[in-house]
This record gives sequence, C-alpha cells and structure tokens, in this order.
Amino acid sequence: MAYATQTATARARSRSQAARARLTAYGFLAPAGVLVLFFFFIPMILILFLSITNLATINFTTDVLKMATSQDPRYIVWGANFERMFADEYAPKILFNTFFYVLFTLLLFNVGLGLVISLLTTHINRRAGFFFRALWILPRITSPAVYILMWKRIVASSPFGILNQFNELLGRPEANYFQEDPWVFIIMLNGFIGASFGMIIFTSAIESIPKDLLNASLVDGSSLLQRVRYVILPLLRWPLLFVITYQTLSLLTSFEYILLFNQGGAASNNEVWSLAAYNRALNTYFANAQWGYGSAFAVVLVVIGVVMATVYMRVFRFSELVAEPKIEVL
Amino acid sequence: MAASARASRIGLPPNVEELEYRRAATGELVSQAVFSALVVLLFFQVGVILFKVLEPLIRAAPGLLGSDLEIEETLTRAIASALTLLAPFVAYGTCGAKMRGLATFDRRRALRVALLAGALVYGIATMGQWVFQVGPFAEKPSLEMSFEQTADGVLITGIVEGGTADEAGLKVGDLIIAIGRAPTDLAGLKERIALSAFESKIGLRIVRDGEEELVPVEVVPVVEVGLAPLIGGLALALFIAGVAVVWPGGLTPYVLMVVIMVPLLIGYLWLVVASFSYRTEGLLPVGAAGEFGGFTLRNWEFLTREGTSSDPSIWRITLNTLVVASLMMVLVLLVSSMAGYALSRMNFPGRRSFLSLTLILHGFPAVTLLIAIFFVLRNIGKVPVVGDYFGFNTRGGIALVMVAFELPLGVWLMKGFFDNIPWDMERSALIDGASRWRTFWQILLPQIRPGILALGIFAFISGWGAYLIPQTYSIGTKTATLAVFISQRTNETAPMNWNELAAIGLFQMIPVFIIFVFAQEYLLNIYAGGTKGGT
Repeated sequence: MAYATQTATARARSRSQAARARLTAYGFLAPAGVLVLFFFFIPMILILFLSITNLATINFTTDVLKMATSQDPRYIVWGANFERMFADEYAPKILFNTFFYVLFTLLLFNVGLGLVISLLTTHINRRAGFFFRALWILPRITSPAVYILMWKRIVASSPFGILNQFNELLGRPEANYFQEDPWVFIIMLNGFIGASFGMIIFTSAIESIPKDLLNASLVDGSSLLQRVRYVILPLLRWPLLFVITYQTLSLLTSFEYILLFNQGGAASNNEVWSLAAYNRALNTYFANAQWGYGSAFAVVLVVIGVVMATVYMRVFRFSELVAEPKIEVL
Repeated sequence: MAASARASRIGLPPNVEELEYRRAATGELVSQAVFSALVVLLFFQVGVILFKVLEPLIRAAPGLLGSDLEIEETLTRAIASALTLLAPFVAYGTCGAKMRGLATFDRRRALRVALLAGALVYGIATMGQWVFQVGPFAEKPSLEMSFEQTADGVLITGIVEGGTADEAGLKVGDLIIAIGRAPTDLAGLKERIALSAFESKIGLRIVRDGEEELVPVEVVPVVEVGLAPLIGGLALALFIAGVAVVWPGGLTPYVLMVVIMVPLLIGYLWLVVASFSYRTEGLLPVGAAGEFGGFTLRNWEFLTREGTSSDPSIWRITLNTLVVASLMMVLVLLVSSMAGYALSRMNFPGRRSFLSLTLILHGFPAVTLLIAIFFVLRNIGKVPVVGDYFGFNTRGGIALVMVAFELPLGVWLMKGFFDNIPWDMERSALIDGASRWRTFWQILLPQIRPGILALGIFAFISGWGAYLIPQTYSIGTKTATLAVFISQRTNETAPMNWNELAAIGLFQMIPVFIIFVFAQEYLLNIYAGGTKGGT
C-alpha cells in the first residue's frame, strides 16, 4: 500500500518533471517557431489565397481576413489569375527564359566554373589557392547595386565602356552590348557570383580525398588529367549532385541581379519567372502593382520549391540530421 | 644529348623514354603532334556545331510553346564564336606541348619539331577557314572603293570596276562630306560601313564639280584577304607552339586562374580608379577637358555632406545599415542558438518534425514569399506599439524578415555545433542545480565561440549588403540601407554621378571586406553551408 502510493507520487513527480522539461524545450524553440510561423507558414498560406484574388493598386486593402470572409466578387476571382497567366502572351517566353537562364548559368558557371576553379586552386601552392578563392568571394560580399554598377560600366557604350575601349584599341567597331547581348552578361554576372558556392563545396570535397588514392595513381604513372578524370571526379559525385539540386532551386528564384541590370529588358526579353512575379506584384516602377496576379506567378515557384526542397531533404543528410539526440533529458 | 652524356658518365642506363624519342624520325613526331592538334580542333568544332544547331532551336522555342514572340538569342552565338576564336590557339599549343617530353633530352630538336607541326596545323586551320569563309576570309561589308581623308571631306581615290560604287555612279575624285544629313569623316564612314548589313543602302552626300549630290550605294559582301593578318597569324601560331615546348607546367593553373578572373579584376579595378578620378573613359581616369589624369577626391565629399530630411547624410544611412546588420546578427545568433540547443539536447514531441521542417525550409527559396510577407508586415504594422517597431517600413521589420530567411541555415549550423560538444560539463552543471537556461548561457555558448563568431559575422555581412528585402519593404530614404541608397541613386531621373557612386560603393564594401579578410577561414565554411536567396 505504502509502496503503491510512493510509486504513484514518484510517477506524478516524474510526469510533472517531464511536462516542465517539455515546456523548457518549447520555450527555447519559441522565438524560432514564431519567426517561422510569421515569415514562412502564414506567407505560404497567404500567397495561395492572394493568387485567387485580384488585389491591385486600385482596390488595395491590407485587411486579408475581411477580404476572405466577405466573398466579395470584387476581390475573389478564383482561378482567373491562373487562366490569365496561361494566356499571357509573354508567359511562354518567360518560361523559356527561365529554363535557358537556369540551365546555362548552372552548367557553365555554378557547376562548370566552380569545378574548374576548385581543381585549379587545389593544384597550386596552398596559400595562392586560398588567395584566389578569397578573391572569388568578392562578388558575393559586394553590394548588388555596386556589383551591377561595375558590369554596367563594363558593357557601356563608348567612350565610357571598358569593353568598347578594348574594341577601340584593337580597331574594331563599337558594340552596344547592353542592348544586343544582354543574356551573355546576365549569365556571366550571375555566374561569377554563383561559381563560388560550387567552388567551396568542391574544394572541401577534393581536399578530403585520402592522399593514398592520389599517391597510388601517381605511382601508377597517371597524368594530372587522368587523376582528375578517374580519381577525383568519381569521388565528387555526391557534392556535384548536391550543388546541382541546391543551385537549381536558388537560380530558379534568384532575380535581383537581373532586376538591377535591366529590369528584365524590353518586351520581357530577359525576364525570368521569379522576376515576372516580382515585377507584377511589387515593382512600384510600373505604378500599378498587381498583387493577385503576381502571386499566381509566385505560387508556381512556391510549389516547385516545396517539392524540390522535400526531395532534396530526403536525398541529403536527412536521416543523419533527425537522429535522436545523443543525450536524453535528465 | 647532354642528358644522355651525363647519364652514361655516372653509369646509369639511358632512359627508355629518351631512347624512344631518339629512335623516332622527325616526320613521325611531327605527324603525332599534328594529329593531336587536329583532334583538339575537331573537339572544339563539334562544340561550335552543337551551338549552331542549338541556336535555331532556341529561336523557335516560344513558338513551340504556342506564342508568336521571338527570343533574341545571343548567348549561343557568343559561346560559338569564343570557341572558334580559341580553337586554333589551343591546337598550336598542343603541338608544342606534345614535344615537352622530348625537350628534356634535346631541346633544339623539340623546338624544331614543334615549329614544323605548328606551321602545318596553321596551314590546315587556315585552309579550313578559307573553305568555310571565316576568320580572315570572312565576308565583310564593303562599298568596293578606296578613299582617304582630306581637309574638305573624304576623297574617293579608287573604284572597283563593275563594283557597287561604280554601279551607283560614283567617280574617282568625288568628295564625300556626309552620310545622309550627318557630316562624316574617314573613321565615321568606315565604322558605318563595318556596322551595315549586307544589301542595305548608305546614302552618301558627295560634292562633284562644286555641286552636292546624294548617292545611295548598296553595301555588298566582299572578301578582302590582306597578307598582314595571314603572316601575323602564322607568327603567332609558331610563337605559341614554341612557348608551349618550354612552358613550365606549374604556371598553367595560375595563368588560367587569372584569365578566368579577367572580368572581375577589370570591374574592381574600375571601381577603385573611378572613385578617385574626375571621370573615366574605359579604365582610364580622365580630366575635365578629356585629357589623361584628373585625379580628385571630390567623389569622397559625400562623407562630409550635411543631411536634410529628404536627402539624409551618408552617416545616417550608414547608421541604418549598421542597425539592421547588428540587429540581424544578434537576433540570428540568439534565435538559432536557442533553437539549435533545444534540438540538439532535448527530446520532446514534435522534435523530429521541427527538424525536417528546418531542413525543408533550408532548401526552400524564401524569396518566393516576398509578396505575401508584404501583407504580413502591413498587418503587423496595425498592431499598436509592436507595429511601430516591426511593421512595414521599419528597420525592425526588415531585420526580422532577414532573420527569418537566415534562420533555417542558422538553426541547422548551431545544432551541428552543439552536437559536437561533449555532455560532461553540462551534466555536472545540471546536477549542481543550474537551470537549463543558465547551462545554455554559461556553459554551452562559451564552448561554441568559433561557431558563434562565424555565424555572427556571416549574418552581419548579409545584413550589411542586403538589398532586396530593404528595397521591397521600405519606402523613401527613412529606412534605406547603403545598398538601397546606392540603387536609388542609380534609378534617379537626374543624370547619375558614376564616380561618386563608385566611391559610395567602395565605402560600403570596405568594412565588410576587412571583416572578411580577418574571418576568411571561418566564413568559407559557413558559405559552404549554403546561402539563401542569392545564386
């Protein structure tokens, strides 16, 4: 009897202890939770909702709840935004631009150039390699506006443009790069930023390759190119996959440099999908902000983002990360 | 010769490789080098053909998607011409490089063979260019006449019989004074011709016997092969082949590295030059009258300018930036270390799902939510008191959004740092009766100082350079950060002062760059953890 009461009180105590521990844990998590709630969850639901409204400058309101409950046909238009999007004469072009931009930037720069830089910098003097890699970080820490200023000056027309100055020295006619070859420079200026991501990942992967492997192939008389082809590259398969998936997602939604460079160009010539959403909804330059229509564009990306991020989480490090904590609560 | 003599003197058998080289006839070596060069050329040409095939496909792309819009496609063309330009030089280099092995034993013979092979490859490449009418054999727009500059205008000195100028009725001795209505000189005329499309017409205003006349002349494609580019090309080819024989292999990565970086180096060089000069033409600083020089400090005068309410001083904007960046640093550190601690050290219902959520959010591109967050901030702004600090168009609100965007990365990293710390110290503190909070604050945080430093600096840098979020969620200059301030200046309708902007840009970059130089090693690891939003 006495024993039973004891265990009961002990159980009650341990239960209240567990409850308190749980409370502490939630306390620690609360700030992060609130931020995630306000800036990820609510916006995700909100953007789905906004995409079925025709909210624009002319009927602007911030009272989302009233808008939702009123069922007012002035606001709620259901699928009209999506119909309009599919019928948009520029949509096919924007879609193609997006694929084109992501594919070329990814292959030529984020993966290609990143791999080349990391291979080069790991095969030279260590300090020199470090120096070069540090230089490659510069575009990433330069403010976007200044970075674009630089590129605008590179492509500017004579007498200010740097490329055109070289043209003059070589006796070639002046070229209007900003108007004629915007894609070349948009891809380059984005690529020079993106390359450093791949560079860092690949460099640490190359440096973690056991020296024995390389030594063994050296003893077998391999040339540098052979070592790269048969030893290094096969071992880089996972980092490569990681960079490709992660950067595809980043590139799909990165538009700020195009926005700063030429706002997407005339007739949506250089507009990508994410920029299209931004231009329609938030770019006050056009004076008529169409939040509803812009949201429809953004929803497409949100869906792609959620799907790809989930896949990517399953493929990389998921099990490792959610493993039980090493230490149980006292 | 010398090597083998030395080898026999010290009693070593001659190298097998050396013997092989010596036995081989010169012709054999040359054909080997030429063959590998041709393989290289072919490889590049396959690339060019691929791009040529791609180009019409790309042009047709929107059509395939059911639109009648056309795409201006330039990238494939640029890549193809870069490959075409590069291919022969790489081939000449290959000829020389093939002989590097031989050069260690017999440098002169290696050089001879390389030059011979280089010349052969040059011949083959030039023949290819002739067949396909590219390179020096490309068709250029021409008026089929020669002219020279005189004091009165451009004098026609020769006309090809039956050519387009002849057909148009131009005669030797006519004086060209203008194209259409625009007066022209020799350089202007040449440029106009070079930029014209085939079969377009140029209206030349000429003076003949004291009378003005407008003569339209058709531009026709003409192949003019000068001897100079051919000889120059051959010399360059031989030079490259020769250098490749003696080129120290260890230098190649450095040279490649610098070549790849040329656009970046040029850009940053311009930034520095521009900020200290009156104005720039290309990379050269230029004075008021257009002469070289004109170094000045006036671009930096913005540092001492007094602010007004509509045009705040730079220090006020710097303060804004500093507030946003510091707020962001502190909040990212605090919030993500707390969450990281809970996830690493405690077990509670929902832990697994919160972790997977963090990871999904880490991959999820948050910028797609910009539109919706606009409304969230607007609504926060309606809440009394809180709204004044964290609503739309407030520094706090901007900082909060950026914190939220960095959070998945921060939580993930912090959890990793905590996982690596042994449990012992914490356990003894807890047994001694310390609270969870105190253990976290006094025992654990000091142990992950390097991690905190790295994440903190990372957050500070991204807050300092932030552009998109402050730009989207602030109006006017009240809450503008430096990056927004700079971009506002580039959008102004008044002509912008590039040089002053360059100076402001440098001013904005310097603190970050200094921090970066000192914290490089930490930071490179964090960047590897992935940044959000950017490319």
